[in-house]
Amino acid sequence: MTAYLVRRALLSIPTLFLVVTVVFLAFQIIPSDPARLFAGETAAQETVERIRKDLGLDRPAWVQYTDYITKLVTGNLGRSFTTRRLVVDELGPRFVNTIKLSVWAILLATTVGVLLGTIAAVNQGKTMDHIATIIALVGISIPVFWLGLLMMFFFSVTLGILPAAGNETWRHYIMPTVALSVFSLAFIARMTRSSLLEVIRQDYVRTARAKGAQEWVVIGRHALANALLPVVIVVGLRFGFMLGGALVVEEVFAWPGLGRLMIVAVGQRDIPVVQGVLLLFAATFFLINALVDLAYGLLDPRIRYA
Amino acid sequence: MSATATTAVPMPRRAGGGNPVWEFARKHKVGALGALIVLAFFVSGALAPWIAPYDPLTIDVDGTLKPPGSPRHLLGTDNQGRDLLSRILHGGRLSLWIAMTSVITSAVAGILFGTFAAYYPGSETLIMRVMDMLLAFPGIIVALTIISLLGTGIENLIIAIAISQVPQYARLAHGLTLSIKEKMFVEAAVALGASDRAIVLKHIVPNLFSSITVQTSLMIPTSITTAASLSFLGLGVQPPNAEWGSMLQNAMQWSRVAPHVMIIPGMALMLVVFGFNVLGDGLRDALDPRLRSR
Repeated sequence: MTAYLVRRALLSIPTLFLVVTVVFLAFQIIPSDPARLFAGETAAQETVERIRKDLGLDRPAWVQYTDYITKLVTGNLGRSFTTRRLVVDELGPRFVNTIKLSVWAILLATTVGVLLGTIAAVNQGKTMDHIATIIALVGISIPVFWLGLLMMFFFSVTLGILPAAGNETWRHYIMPTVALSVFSLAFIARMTRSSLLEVIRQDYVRTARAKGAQEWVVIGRHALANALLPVVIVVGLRFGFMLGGALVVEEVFAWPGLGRLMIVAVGQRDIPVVQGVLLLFAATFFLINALVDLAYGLLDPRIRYA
Repeated sequence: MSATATTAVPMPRRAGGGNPVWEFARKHKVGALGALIVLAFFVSGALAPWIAPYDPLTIDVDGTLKPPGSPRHLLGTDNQGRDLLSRILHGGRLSLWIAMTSVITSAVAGILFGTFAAYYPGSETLIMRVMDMLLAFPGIIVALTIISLLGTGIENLIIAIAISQVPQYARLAHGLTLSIKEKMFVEAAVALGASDRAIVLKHIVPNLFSSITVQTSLMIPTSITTAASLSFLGLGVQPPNAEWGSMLQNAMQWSRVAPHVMIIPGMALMLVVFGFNVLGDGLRDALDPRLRSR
C-alpha cells in the first residue's frame, strides 16, 4: 500500500510541473506589469524599475522560470509581490482554515446525503421519496452564495443567534459548513438513491430477506455496503470540488481561507501567491484521488493494488 | 427503474401521441416543467428590451428600496431606485448570452480536441494531459485564473468559463470517438477510401450528438452559476450592468432594510438553474439510457 501511494505521488509530479509551467507562461504572455501595479499608477519610472529589480522581474523569463523551479524543489514558493512575506507562510494557516471547513462540510454532506438517499430509496415512489427527491433537486439548484446570504440574513441579521463573519468559535462554523455542504449533500443523496435502488433488486438482497434477516440488517449490511462503492468516488470528487465552493463561501462569511487569499491575489496580480494556491489545489486534488482509490480497494476486496 | 418495465406498459394512443415533444412531456413530467421554465427564460431573455417596463440603469433617487407590489414597480426598486423587474429581465438576458456563447464555444473546442486526440495518437498525450490538468481544478478556479490573466468584463468572463468547460467536452468526445472508431460503419467508410476528416464530420460527430446534448443541458446551469458567482465576487460582469450575481453583491449591504433586493435575484437564479437541471435529467433519461443510473 505504501508502495502504491509513493507511485501515485510520483505520477502526480509531471502534472504539477505542467501546472507551474502553464501558469508561468500565461503570466509571461499577458500585457501586464506587476511592478507598475505594485508601485501605483502615479509612481515615478525609477520607483517602478527599482521594484521590478526587487521582485526579480528584470531578469530574462527563462532565468525567472529556472529560478522558480529550483526553489520549488526545496519547498520554497517565493515571496508575495504585495506583502513581501514567504508564500509558504501566507498559504499555510489559510490552507488549514479551508481544509477544516471543507472536512466538516464533506462529513455533513456524506452523513446526511447517504441518509436522505437511503430514506428515498427504501420508500421508492412514496411521499418520503418525493420529499427527499425535491430536497435534493433544490439542493443542487440553489446558488451557494445566495444560500449563504439567506442564512446570514435569517440567523445573523433577523434572529441574531449566529455570528455572520470570522472563524473564532464553533458557532462561526455552522453557517459556512451548511452552505458549503448543500450542493454535495444533494448530489450524494441522488447518487445513493439510484445506486441503492439498483442493489436492492439483486439476488443476494432477496436471499438476505428470505432467510429472515431484519429489514435494517438487509438494507444496512447487505444493500448499503455494496451501494456505497460508487458513492465513495462521488464523495472524493465532491471533496476536490469543495475547494471551488469554498472560494465563494469564504467571501460571503469573511472566512480567512485560501479562496479569499486567491481572490485578493488575482485582483493584485500577485503571481507567486496565485501560483502557490493553484499548486496547493492541484496537490490536494491528487492526494484525494489517491485516497479515494485506496478507500475503494478497502470497500471492494476484489480490487488489488500492485 | 428498468427500461423494459416502463416501455412494456401499453400506452393508450392519444391525439398527438406520435409527437416526440408530447411524448417527452408525458413520460417526464418534471422534465417538462423544466422545459417550460427554460423556455420562459429564453423568451424573456430574448424579449427583455421590449417587455421590461423601465430601463435597467435608470436611477430614481426619490424611489429607492420600494418593496415588491409598489405602484408602477411590480418587484420594487433597489438602493438607487432602479426597477427590479427590469433589472431581473435584463440580467437574465445577459446570463443567457454568457451561458450560451461559452457553452457553444467549449462544446466546439472540446469536440475538436477530443476527436483530434482520438485520431492522431501523437497529439493524444499532450491534449489529454492538458485536459486532465484542467480537470484537476474546480471549474471556477480555472475561470478565476484566466480572469486574473485577461482582466474582468463580459467577454473575458465568457472566455474564462468556456475554457473551464472544454475538458469535460474533450474527455467525452475523446472516449466516444475511440469507441465509435472501431464500429463496423466506420471501418466500411475507411474501406471505401474516405478521408479522416470526412469520417469525423460525417460519421463520428453526428453520433456524438445525443451525448453532447445531454452534457450541454448539464453544462448550461453550471456556466450560469459560475458567471453569477464570479460577478458576485466582483470579477465578472461589472456594475452598474444588471446581472444577477452582481445584483446580489450589491444587495448584501441593503438586505437588512430591504430583503427583497437580496431575495428576488437569487430566486431568479435558482429557478433557472432548477429548470435546466430537471430538463437535463429528463433528457438524459430520454436520450442516453446508458447514463440512466447515474
